[in-house]
Amino acid sequence: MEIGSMVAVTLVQIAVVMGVVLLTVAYMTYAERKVLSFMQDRLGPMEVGPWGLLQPIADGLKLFFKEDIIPSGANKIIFAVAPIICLVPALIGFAVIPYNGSFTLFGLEGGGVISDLNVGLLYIFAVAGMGAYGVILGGWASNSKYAFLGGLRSAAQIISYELAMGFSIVGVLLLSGSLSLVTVTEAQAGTWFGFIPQWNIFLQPVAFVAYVIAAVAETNRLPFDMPEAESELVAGFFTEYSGMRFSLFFLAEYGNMILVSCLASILFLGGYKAPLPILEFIPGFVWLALKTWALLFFFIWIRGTYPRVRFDQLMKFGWKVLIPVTLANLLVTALGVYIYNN
Amino acid sequence: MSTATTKVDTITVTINGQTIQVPKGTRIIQAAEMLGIEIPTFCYQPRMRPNAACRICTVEVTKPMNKMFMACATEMMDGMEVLTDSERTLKDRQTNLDLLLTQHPLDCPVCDKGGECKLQDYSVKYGSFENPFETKRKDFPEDIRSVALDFNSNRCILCGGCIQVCGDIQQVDAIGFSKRGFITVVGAPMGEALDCEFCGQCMDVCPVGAITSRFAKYKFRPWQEEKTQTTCTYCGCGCQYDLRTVDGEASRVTPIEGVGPGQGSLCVRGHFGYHFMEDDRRITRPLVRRGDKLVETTWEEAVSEAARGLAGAKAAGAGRVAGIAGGRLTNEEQYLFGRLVRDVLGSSNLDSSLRYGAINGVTVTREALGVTGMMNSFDEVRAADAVLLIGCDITQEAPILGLAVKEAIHKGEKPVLVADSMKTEIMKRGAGRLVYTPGTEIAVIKGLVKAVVDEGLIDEQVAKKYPKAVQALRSELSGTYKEIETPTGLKKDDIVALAKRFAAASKGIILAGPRVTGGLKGKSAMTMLVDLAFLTGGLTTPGAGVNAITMENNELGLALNGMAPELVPGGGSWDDAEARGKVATAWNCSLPNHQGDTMMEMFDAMREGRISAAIVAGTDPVGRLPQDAGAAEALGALDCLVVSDLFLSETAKRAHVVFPARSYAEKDGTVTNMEGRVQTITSCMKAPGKAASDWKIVSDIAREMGHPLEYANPGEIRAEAAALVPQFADTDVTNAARGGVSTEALEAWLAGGFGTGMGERYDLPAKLNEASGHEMRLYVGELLFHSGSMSTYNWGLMKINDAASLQLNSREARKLKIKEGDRVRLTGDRGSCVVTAKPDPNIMPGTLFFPRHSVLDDVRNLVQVVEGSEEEGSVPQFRFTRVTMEKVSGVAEAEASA
Amino acid sequence: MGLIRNIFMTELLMGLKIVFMQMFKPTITLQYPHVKHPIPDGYRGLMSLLRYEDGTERCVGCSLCEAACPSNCIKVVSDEVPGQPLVRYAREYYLDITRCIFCGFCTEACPVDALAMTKVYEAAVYDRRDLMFDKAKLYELGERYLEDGKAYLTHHRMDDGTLHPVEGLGDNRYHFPAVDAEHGGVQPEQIGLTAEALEVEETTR
Repeated sequence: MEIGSMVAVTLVQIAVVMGVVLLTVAYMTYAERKVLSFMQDRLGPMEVGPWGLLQPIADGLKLFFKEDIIPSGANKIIFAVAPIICLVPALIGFAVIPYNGSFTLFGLEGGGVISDLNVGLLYIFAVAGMGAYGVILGGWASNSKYAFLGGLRSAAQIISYELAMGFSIVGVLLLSGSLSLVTVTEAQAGTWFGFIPQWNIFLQPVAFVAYVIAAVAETNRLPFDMPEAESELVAGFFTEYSGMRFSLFFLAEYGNMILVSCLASILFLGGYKAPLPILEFIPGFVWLALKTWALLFFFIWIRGTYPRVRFDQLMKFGWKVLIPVTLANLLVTALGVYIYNN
Repeated sequence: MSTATTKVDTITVTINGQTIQVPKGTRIIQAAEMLGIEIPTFCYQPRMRPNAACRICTVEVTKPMNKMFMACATEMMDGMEVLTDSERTLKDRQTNLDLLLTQHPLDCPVCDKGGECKLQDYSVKYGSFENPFETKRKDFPEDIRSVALDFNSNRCILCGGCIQVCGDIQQVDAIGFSKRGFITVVGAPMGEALDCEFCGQCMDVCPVGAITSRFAKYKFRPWQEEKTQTTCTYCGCGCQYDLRTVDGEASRVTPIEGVGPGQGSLCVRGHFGYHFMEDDRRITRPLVRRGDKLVETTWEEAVSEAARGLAGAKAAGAGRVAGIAGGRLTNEEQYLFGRLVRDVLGSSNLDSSLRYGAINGVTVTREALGVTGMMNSFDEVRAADAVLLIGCDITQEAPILGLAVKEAIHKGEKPVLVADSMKTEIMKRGAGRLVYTPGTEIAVIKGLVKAVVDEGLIDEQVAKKYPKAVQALRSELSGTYKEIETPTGLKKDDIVALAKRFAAASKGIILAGPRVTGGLKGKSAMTMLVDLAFLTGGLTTPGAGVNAITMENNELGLALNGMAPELVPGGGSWDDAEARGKVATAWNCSLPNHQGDTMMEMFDAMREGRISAAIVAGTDPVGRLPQDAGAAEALGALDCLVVSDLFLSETAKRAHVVFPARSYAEKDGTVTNMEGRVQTITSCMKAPGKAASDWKIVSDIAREMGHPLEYANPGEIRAEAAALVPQFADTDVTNAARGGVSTEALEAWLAGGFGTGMGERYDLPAKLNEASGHEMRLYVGELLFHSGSMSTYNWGLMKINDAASLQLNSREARKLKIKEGDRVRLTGDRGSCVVTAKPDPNIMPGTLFFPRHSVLDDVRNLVQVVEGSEEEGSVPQFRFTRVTMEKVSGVAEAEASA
Repeated sequence: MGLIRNIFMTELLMGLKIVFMQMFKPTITLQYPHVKHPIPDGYRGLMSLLRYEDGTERCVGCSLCEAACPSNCIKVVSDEVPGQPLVRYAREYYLDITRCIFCGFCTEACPVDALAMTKVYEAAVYDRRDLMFDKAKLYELGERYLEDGKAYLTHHRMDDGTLHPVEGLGDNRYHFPAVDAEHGGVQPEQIGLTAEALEVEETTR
């Protein structure tokens, strides 16, 4: 394939993926409000469009037209750059997310992924780590004690849980033997006994649980939303943000949620693979979407269920429980893989 | 005469188990009050005899007999035991209230008394809330015919307090009970509309809302009001009252029982004259002259213009600046004004409204008796054996002192002797009367002194102790009565009879009015009264004495602050180098050496250009004096005239700079009443616009002139002034008795001023018998309802009385076929004018009376001013004149001349 | 057992289950601006001033509401009705809704049942000054929500629902004695004395 059509295909892929991601972000906010409402015997947004379906658009418009306020004493450059630093890593992480098997469309062959890096997972971890800078810088540049405290908490929390998260997926990598997410997905094809999909979740249940917990903490979601704890810090690191800058942080948070959910479904739930061979007539991206949505629902669900933990509890849990458990899991997996291979 | 040595018997009584020693004759309610035990009462008033009408004060007496007694009327016996909270007492109280409430309409929400009503309070405290009796509410139409007081007989509980206060304290008996039984009502006799002095005391004592004020009708609720104790500033009495305000607006005035000169009494001016502060005509911003007009300007601009004008005149030469102050200023403001003129402006041309007459009373009493102000307190007047009033319509000119005189009549049934030029209110109740021709006070007084000397009425002790002085007077008064009878129109026998009655009293008090001090040869007349008092023992007997009443509120303050060219601060004489030196030291300046001009001399100097700038505060010489005095031309000729006043007075209209001043309700400070009490006034209202206290105005001008007189508040000024005027050191609102005249002061007087000038003193002025082409004598004087211009800015008082009508003898009017409302023309040497006539039986034939407050300047301007000589205090006589009166026949002619 | 529970986080899972089941229960939300709750009688909504049936203002300007108000939000300026001496009314009446705590003490204090609370609770405005209700506004509210006012007074046992005083609670409408500027004083027949009683009166005199 000549270079021109490759670029074209890639650009189209980027456009489609970004479009889908941003639309998902938008409707994730709607879904979150709706689901939480139902869980709390409420109705949620109902006014804009049928059942409030146009609410995210209205919110977006509102945020777009809101006054942009930069607090006095804020470091203006960093204050302006921080939300972008936060959002960009969340979005470019999707470059290595395989959303489908290889396919052919209009005579062009697509890989089902924008870029199949052989170190895809590392890439994701690398850019996701950048997101923490946005949070910290935003908190610091706001010249507000609440934002600053939120930023510091966020840093501490992300560093702590990044470790556990890393350890939890190493087991998966041991099993699949590759850092490429396409390879990881393909390794989960097939079934055991004809009805149990060969997903890593069945081989790595502890890792899955640890990963989900770490993911919740990584994305600053309830019950681990200390960086933006409303009752203590007003809104945490983005207390002083308004209008579009605020919405960029918002997009980043939800983009991260989708990213970690995608990652979880790829690493543990077989990615775009259908669970059973008879269901393979359904395209792969639908499966990925379903699995991701299920995880996102789980995010909302635990938000509706659990209260926020204390910060010391969070750190204690991260360092004293989650890391030892994932380390132990790693040890057991390594032993198992060693024994299986030999 | 030894009241101090009589031992008061005490008895021991027990109330609710508490034992107390009380003087004999104490009533149960008084003893309970001493113990702090409350006994409810509607009709009991501490100042009046017990009425025992309301029966609510019934208490149980257990010893020496077991019975229910009226606490307000029962004098206690030795060993008496009383229970005020026993079951029986409470049950009786409840029944009493139940019975009262069978008729009371319970329209409390629309009743102005609601919130401070005794019936409300007692019903809550002692009532039953379930009335066992059949209620039968009255439905009498409410009487709103009177201009000031509304009578709602439905609410009346018939305690009779109002009738008592009207009869016993005010002694006008304007209201009483009419009808009987269930339909008994309180009101003016014969169902007429109430037309009285409108002192409003009936309203104050009413325990319920049966008598309410028309002016405050529905304008306040008692709990919304803020109470500020302050001093009334209308006349020289200086009564204490509570000025009540709702959100900074005056709502009404209420007296304070037992406090101040009035002891809880107020007159119509004090009671209803609280509207002028909020009048729209108040000056609110400084004005400066631009061409013919006065235009509003900024404060800084006005101050700098005033300072420039005054400084220019000061620089042009010594004594080119004059200052005139009035009694509206507080002591502090007067002191600072005096300092501005004498120290900052370096001029001795400082005069004040004392010059309208009061200066004679002040200087005579100070020189002769060594006291500034009245020699006797109001309480001593109340306790006097005889009161001699000369040229003094006391119930109009000083109503509260008038009440003290009335009380003297009432208490001891003692003679009050009145000499005046018309039948005044007090004269009608007096035991002795002399009605003389207006303007001949000096002759009447000379006649009285002569009668005392000739008829051997001289006090024995005085005759024994001071034979030389008595002899000097005797030889001076050897003439005949002819020279007295002719001008005064009195008979010798009448004068002698009055003198006899006065001399017979052991504690005789002389009260001289403004027609003595401000009349012809006023200072001599006043000195003669001192002689009269001396001869009858008035100067040697405690509780007796001779007094001149002052008209304006703080005239005595003017005297104490030395606001006249012949005075220095502290009330001393200008001639007294030591007193002057003290002032110069205190102010750290050198006072001008020569004595300054008096007001009339100032006017001459202004016309001749010797004075080119003046500052006038708190008085209105143009509006006060007749045209003949030339104040208008004089002040109009000035290069710079600075005036501070509440309203745009006649003087202010001619000013170059006008400062808006504050009324008494908007400033703090002290004022001195005619007794010499220094009493505080307290601000409780917001001054309109830029209006500032006069001390602030003076201070600003002084600062602008580069000679700062800086004070943070009037208290600091008073502290400084007290060094020169010791009277200002303490404020006194108690009824301390005056010390009388010290023997040294008396002997100094007899050795000095008494003898010198005696000849001139007893020379009657030729003016008395001067023939004139005009046969009627016109007197321009004060009314009870209006004392000057300030009171006419009260819409309430103007509603009660805005009379600008000429009063003339009714018999004479009948002869001339003049009916009330007819127009008559007055013609005098100074022009003529047309006024409305009002026949009055109290005016003597050949005499006319016109109220001074009237806006009709024409009548005042008819008066020919007689300038007083320097020996006579330089007081211009401007109250009397001679006119011809003729009826204006046609309406057209009346209108044409109007 | 405890250990197993801890390891499998059963309590957390129980919580998740409960919340999940809650999703399928019917919602209780009303679509507020479109659907409204019925407001019970006696609800303490916006204040209103009432008139008598003949259109005269009930308020006599006694300021008792002002005295009863715990948040000092009422200001009454009372006066005589122009041209009708002795008839008291509120010349001005101000109620600062921003300070009002809707306690209803003023209506309890009102001796003439002039104040009643309506069922209006939507007081939001764009201009804060609009929440300073004056007399005209309060009477307008009273007219517009007359039924609410009646229901309020009835509910709180101040009125029988017809804007007439409840039997036994006394005559609430204040009686103003006639003004007789001509004669004043008292005419015996005006207090209902019978002819016989008058005769007795005359003979004893």
